[in-house]
Amino acid sequence: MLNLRFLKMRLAMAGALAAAILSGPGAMAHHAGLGFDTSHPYIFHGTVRKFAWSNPHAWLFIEVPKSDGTSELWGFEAGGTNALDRQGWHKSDIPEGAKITVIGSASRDITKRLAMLQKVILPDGRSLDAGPGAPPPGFKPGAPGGPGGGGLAPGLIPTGAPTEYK
Amino acid sequence: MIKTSSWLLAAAMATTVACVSTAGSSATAAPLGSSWADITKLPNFFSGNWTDYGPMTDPKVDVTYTPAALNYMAHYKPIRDIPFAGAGCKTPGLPIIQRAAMPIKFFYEPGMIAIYIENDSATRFIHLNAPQDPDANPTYLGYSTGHFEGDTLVIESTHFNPDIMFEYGLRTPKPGEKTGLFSSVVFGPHGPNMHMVERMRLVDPNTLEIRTTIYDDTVFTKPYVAVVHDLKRQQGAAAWPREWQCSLSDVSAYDGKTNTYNVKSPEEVLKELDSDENPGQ
Repeated sequence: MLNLRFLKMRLAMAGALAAAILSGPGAMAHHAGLGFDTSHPYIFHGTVRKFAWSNPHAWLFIEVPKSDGTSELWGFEAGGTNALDRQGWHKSDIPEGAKITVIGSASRDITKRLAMLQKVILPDGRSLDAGPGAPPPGFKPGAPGGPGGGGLAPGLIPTGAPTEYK
Repeated sequence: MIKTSSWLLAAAMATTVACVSTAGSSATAAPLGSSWADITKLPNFFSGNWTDYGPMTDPKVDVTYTPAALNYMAHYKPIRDIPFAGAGCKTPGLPIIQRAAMPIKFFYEPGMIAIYIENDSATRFIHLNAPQDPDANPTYLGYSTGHFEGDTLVIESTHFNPDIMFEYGLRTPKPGEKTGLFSSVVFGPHGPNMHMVERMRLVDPNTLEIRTTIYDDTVFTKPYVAVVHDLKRQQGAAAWPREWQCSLSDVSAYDGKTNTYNVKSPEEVLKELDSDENPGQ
């Protein structure tokens, strides 16, 4: 059973790291279009429809049941395949039909049902962070005046604790 | 014709002769990078890979412009993003593609150093101790020659495609302007003789410093000196090079013609993915 309290604590502690993971400069060029609301990440529970092992970003699509008995299809943008591979992801870990938990920041227009993936929790309890990888110690966030810089874009840093998406 | 080529090669030869002379060997010895045995004498750029976490474009520019460039900048139509964020992931060329937070890896054979840029699965080929080819065809990574000056690899690259993302400098977005990642950068056309000189050296065993100077007398009235980039070495299994193919780039793709992003619905993307995987259905 997923311990949400523990999960929230982990997410808060790993906030900056998660941001770095999510938003290396190379990835940022592709993140810019959607405008994710990083102030209010959500926890989604759903069934995998497809995990596209693709570049410049992998995309995870899950069917999320709603409390009114309907369901919604959501798409989650992760890092590129090589970044995920280096962080221990395997495409086969997320097969079609698997019931998983996903934490992510939804697009500002939430009706688009697209989100920036922050973390996946597999049925066996393992969790996978998304992204191109954190920069090494000593690199500072966002150099002013130009994109990139330390792999951190201030606008992509999750700032809020995740809540259940209903 | 590139004016610095002959100078750089002459400097390389002079350095080599000086080194050889100091070592008391034959003055006719081939320059460093000419034999398999030289790999033991080269600075170790080759173990593992290197990642640049610095900015893709220069956040600070100290340069002056030609009247033509000033006129261009005065009428510049800003872009929110670059075509690399669009459908098809069109490469921005050098130097941006090498700075995009994914690893690069060096390979050596006598007379050549290759640099694999994982972001784009692109490879640069550096002709060591060779003259520039005035008839080279244009490419996104340019035609590169290189030589060692002591522990520094000096690479000169010429013959770039006209549509690389060539940075002139910085701008301030206007109030109310729809901005994006590259709204504060001015990109523009480069001249036919534009060339870049990179000086690469290890500042410590796990830090590769790259100093880039760009010459284009149609745009700049003095050399454009880029921000110094320090790349970090990664070793072990994670450093093994990976394939990178742009395979799903149109979910929220930047459209340079309209300066907007085209966002698809999850249903639409899923339908297209299913169709790609089952082309006969």
